[in-house]
Amino acid sequence: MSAPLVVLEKVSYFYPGAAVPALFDVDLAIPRGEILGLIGATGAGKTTLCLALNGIVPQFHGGRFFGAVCIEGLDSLEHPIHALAARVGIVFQDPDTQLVTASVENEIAFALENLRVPAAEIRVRVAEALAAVHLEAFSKKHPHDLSGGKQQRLAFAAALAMRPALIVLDEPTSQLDPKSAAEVFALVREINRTHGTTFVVTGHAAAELADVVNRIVVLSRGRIVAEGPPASVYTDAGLLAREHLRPPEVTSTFALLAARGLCPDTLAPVRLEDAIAAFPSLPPARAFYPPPVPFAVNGVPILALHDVTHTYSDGTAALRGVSIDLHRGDYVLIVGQNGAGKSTLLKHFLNLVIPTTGKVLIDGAPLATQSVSELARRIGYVPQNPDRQIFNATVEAEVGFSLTPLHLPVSERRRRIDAALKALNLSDFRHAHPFALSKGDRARVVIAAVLVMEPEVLIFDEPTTGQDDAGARAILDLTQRLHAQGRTIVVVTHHLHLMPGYARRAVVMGAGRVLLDAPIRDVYHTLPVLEQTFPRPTQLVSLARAAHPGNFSLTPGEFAASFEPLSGSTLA
Amino acid sequence: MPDRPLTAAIPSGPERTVIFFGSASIAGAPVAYAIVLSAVVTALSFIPFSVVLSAGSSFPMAQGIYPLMGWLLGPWAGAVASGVGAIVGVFLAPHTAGIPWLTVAGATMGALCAGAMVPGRRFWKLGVGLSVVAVLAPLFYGDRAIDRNGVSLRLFLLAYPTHFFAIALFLLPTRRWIGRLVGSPDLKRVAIGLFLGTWSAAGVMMMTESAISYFLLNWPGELFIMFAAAVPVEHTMRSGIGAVVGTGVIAGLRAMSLVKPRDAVY
Amino acid sequence: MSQPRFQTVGRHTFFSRLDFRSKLAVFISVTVIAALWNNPLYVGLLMLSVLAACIQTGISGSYLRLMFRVMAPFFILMLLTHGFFNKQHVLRLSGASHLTPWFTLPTSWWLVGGGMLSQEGLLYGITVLSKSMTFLLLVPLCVFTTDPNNLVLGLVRLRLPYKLVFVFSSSLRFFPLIFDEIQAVQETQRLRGHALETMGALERVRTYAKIAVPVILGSMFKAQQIEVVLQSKGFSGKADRTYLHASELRGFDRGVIALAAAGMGAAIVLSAAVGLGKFPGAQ
Repeated sequence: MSAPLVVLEKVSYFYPGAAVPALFDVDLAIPRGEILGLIGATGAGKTTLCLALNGIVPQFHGGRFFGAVCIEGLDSLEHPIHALAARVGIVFQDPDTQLVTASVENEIAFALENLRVPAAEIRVRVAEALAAVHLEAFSKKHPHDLSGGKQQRLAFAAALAMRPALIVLDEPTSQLDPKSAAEVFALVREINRTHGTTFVVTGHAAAELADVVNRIVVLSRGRIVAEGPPASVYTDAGLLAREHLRPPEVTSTFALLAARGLCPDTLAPVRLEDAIAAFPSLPPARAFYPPPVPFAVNGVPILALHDVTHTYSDGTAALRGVSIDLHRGDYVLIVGQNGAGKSTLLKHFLNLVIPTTGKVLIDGAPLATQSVSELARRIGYVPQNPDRQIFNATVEAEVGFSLTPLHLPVSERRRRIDAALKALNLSDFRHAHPFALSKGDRARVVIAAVLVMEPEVLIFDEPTTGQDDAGARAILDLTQRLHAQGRTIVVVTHHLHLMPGYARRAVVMGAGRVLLDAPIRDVYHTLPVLEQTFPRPTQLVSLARAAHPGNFSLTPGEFAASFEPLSGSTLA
Repeated sequence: MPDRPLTAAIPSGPERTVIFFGSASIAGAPVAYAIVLSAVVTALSFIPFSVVLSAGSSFPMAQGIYPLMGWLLGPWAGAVASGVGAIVGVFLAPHTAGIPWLTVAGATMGALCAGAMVPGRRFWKLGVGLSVVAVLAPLFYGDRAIDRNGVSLRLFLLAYPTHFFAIALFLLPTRRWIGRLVGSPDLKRVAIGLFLGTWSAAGVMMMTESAISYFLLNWPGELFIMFAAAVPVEHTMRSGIGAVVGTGVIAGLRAMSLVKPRDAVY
Repeated sequence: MSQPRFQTVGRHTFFSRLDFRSKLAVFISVTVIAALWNNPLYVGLLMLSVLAACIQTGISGSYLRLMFRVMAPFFILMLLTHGFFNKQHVLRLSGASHLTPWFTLPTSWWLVGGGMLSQEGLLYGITVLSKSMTFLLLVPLCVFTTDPNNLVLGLVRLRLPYKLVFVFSSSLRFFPLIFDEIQAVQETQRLRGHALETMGALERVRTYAKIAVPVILGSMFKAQQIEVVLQSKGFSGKADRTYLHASELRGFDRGVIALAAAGMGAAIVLSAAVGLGKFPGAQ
């Protein structure tokens, strides 16, 4: 058996000035050809471990380092980073910051030029890398002109061109739509198969990781707390609960079935195919279609688009004959691939663009009669990236920024700011600079800054992107509380599996049209429509449809409840 | 989940000596900082600050930011960020740049002047060099205007009181005092330092640019009357931008735990 | 506001095939000559030559019209101010004892009545206008006809420090991102109830500042990540590296550089010796 490619021996690391280690006594060996998954809650040390694999930690950051990291026998502290770069390629989470040149081919060539690979050889590798990621037609393009998915593929190609023994992917799909994310994982499988490249992949996409990786390592506060094949790690419910991690939906579903005595404890699939194959071991499922949550339409829609078409100046038809009514008190999910028209739709709600044809109405009156800033008092918009929304030096000033144009009495202004800070658990941070807070806290500051205007409608644009499961749930729980207060909520997200239990209704967009507008249950189970815009439905929906054609379960709990109980079971 | 310190956990592995084999930096500032800030300068070059019309057009917001680059990155890296940002702006949209190479030279100079405003004797040679330019520019300009174009000395002085004050601030020990203000932990003092510092650095920059422009364009004395009205307003706005933006940026940078460039003044 | 893009002409001409260094030589030479000359005919012809070169190399007509439109107020200002007010300087340049009136404003006009537009002042205004246009037109001529790779390589071959060149080339990469950030920040401010268009000057300063601050801070944040990326790609900033693209001076490049240098030298010598390019009437 050949020596492992990577060996971490009793590795501990403290960032400069930190009292708490980012990594602690990590022992890990990665054999050649393995695809290793690295999971853990935000702050567990995944990125630090990834950066330790190419020497960035500790050489670039400094700090205190213990133990050793060896890559192909090279100690990471005894060789410069550029020597290690030839052996370890790395793909980061954010496509924006990891592409540093002004054309696709230059990006792929950049590291090779730094490593002084001869020009003729660079040309060969650039061509190979472009072919491997299917970007041949884009070689002269500026990276900014590529979609997020193509940018990540370009980053992958740039790493691949170095022909490294190991490629590390640090949350490579967290900012991508499902189709692009699936492409990245497909590339990992393909390159591992054809080139034998070893991979380390971190992320929160449990289903995809379970499908692709050979072994999973769980990090918690810098320590390895578990490792093993996906089937053993993802079925350890106690471990996952302690670490606030989410297993694949099929795993949690079968755990519930086992808890109800409907299947043996040992039956714990982590992949959809294995779950479906296990059905003969289960009692027959029944049809399941609970009545939709009642919703009383109250007066005219608060927002309405009537047959709106929007064509941008470059000829792109972003919306084609779209009609949508948003009623007071509703909770609507909007889904669709990138380019489906979701952003343009939101811009119409906010009066940021004018329809080419059609009407946009607020409470039955034309929206265009109100300016964007006037409308902002009724419609609050929480965009995806909190860092673009921070303009002030303290949290309190940031939250109060939106109130300045309203010229409110001092007491009313104070009341609203205090209420918004309290609602978002930010009262203790009111004098802190927003940039001193974590990304999750900054996102809450931005939400508070919108909430302080007490809008009737709140639109959340990709609020769960880049969040771990706990963080995503916390934000969605907040939307639920706001909805319970009577506000109309609109959420745009790719994370379909999170939304049952929150949204009442879903609108599917594709190619500028509304493909379907129906209660969420109906939308999730109308597969021919969903497949036009998503590579596959949620695991739960696939399971339900495979179990019984009339099974419209949305959650593991509903699916488990839809099985006939075993005779003698304590549960009905 | 809040972090709790581990109780007396001692790593079992041997502690290693961390040596950094080197990264690319420009005068102690990471290259990446110069890259992104030059891109910011370029982008802000396309935001016109339409307060005053001077010589037929408004001035770009970036003019208030050039000195800030010097304070954030140090004089040399700041000059690179400002200069490259201005060059890229010129290349992308030459029609917005006035006399293109002059715009680039001015941007570089603004950052150099600001970066040279440090307490103590660091960059004293740079300070001396810039002081020479700061003295020669108005002398050259004034000599040409008064001698060749018959502009009265009084009119010349009236047209540029802001810039003469700026040059005085730069030549006198106030230069180091401004550096101390910018580095102060009190944000109010930082704001004052940035306002005066932008006034001074941008004043030297604009006077030098004007001197070279005058060599090429030789405008008559009547335009100086227009300058007397427009220049103080424009310069105050430019300094205001530098102060307001700079204070916000420095407050933010102090709150973020980013690597601080070696020659940064904040 | 639409995002400015780096333009490269599609037409392949002799000039566009030149190495960037050759174009730089032409740029410097023509700039020096334009700065040196004060004769409106000579500078005007120089400007028209550069303009003709721009058209021939494929710089779009719409861009050139945009350029003229943007510069028009400045040019009108120069023509009028030099024409009406430039007396002592042009008298000195022309060696004349008095100016030649072209036309005089009616004396009944308030404030400006009796003002005289002189021929010499107007000619000098044309000189200034032509110089400014020449300086401006040289940039698209030299830059828009150059592939960005060639531009970067040309700078490297000029032995500029590689780090400087890399800052330039990476700025081209990140500028669109920052521009988008600015638009996003402006949009967000409107969405938070701040309407820029209704604000006074002082409030506008504060609001503009609130655009620049998050953009700069966000950029510095990104910079730290970019630094990690550069490290991961083995970037050391040293010039000791290879290049995917090549940039070599060919025979015609060297010829152009020699011609540019010779032209500049000749212009300087002839200007000093025989007054070539001097203002009409000058001794």
